[in-house]
Amino acid sequence: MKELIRSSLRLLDRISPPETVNAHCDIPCGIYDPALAQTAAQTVVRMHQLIDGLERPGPDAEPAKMQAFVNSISRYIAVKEEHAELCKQEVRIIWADYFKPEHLEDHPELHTKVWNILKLGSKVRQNVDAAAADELLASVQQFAEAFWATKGVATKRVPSNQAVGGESLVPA
Amino acid sequence: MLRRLRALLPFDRYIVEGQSMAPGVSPDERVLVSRVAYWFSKPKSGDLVVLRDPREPERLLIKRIDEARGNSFEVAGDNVDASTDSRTFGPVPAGLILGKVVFRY
Repeated sequence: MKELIRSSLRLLDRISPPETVNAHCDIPCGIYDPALAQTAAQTVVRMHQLIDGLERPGPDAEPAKMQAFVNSISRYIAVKEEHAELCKQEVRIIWADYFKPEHLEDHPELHTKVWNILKLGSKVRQNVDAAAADELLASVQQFAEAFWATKGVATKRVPSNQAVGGESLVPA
Repeated sequence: MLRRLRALLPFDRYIVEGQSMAPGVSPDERVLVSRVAYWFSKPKSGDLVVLRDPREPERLLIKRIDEARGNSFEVAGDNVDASTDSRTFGPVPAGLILGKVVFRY
């Protein structure tokens, strides 16, 4: 009887696949670092700088020049897309897996901040918007500050020492 | 059509992903979950249940009820080293528990 139910259910699963349920583990290694989100946001800012600095070929430009332009701009946009999404993912992980309800007492604005970061992450994909990219980086740095604060770790801003310029937020 | 049919049945089928219930429930094992099991009684310690992740309600988890505390329930994975459960997200309100595992296949 059990076998019959088993095989009937298996057959049903083939017709209409079952939903996934997680016997889930964050691997409680407890390793979280907003540095990854910050690097991704800096990359997005950098792509805006490169797009902005790229020489536009005129209407009479040679095909080779036009091709080089299209190639470069496509590459910048592809990286901008990828890193904006990466930034969202990294922030989402820390927000969902690391932050706990008790952290909200000291950081009541956390959910709004994260929401804002996710929206900015989408905005910089949809548009070429240097101001939004800067805002994304600034918001991620505030998020990083809040993250480190929950661990009682002070932070400081240091020169990024990267082509993008600006500052990086690091544990003091 | 199939979705409508599913909503009518008192059971849901799920496929298990992850190691937190090993060796009791293995990854890729399928479970039949009764949506009505807790209409007339409360979850009790030892029940295998499917619940919404309190931190991310879209994500469904399979855990074992560890302890009932009024209308909230401590849940735990069988494989404690590979489980994120009430130790991390605290007790789970009854409303997040979708049903009881009644058959495995």
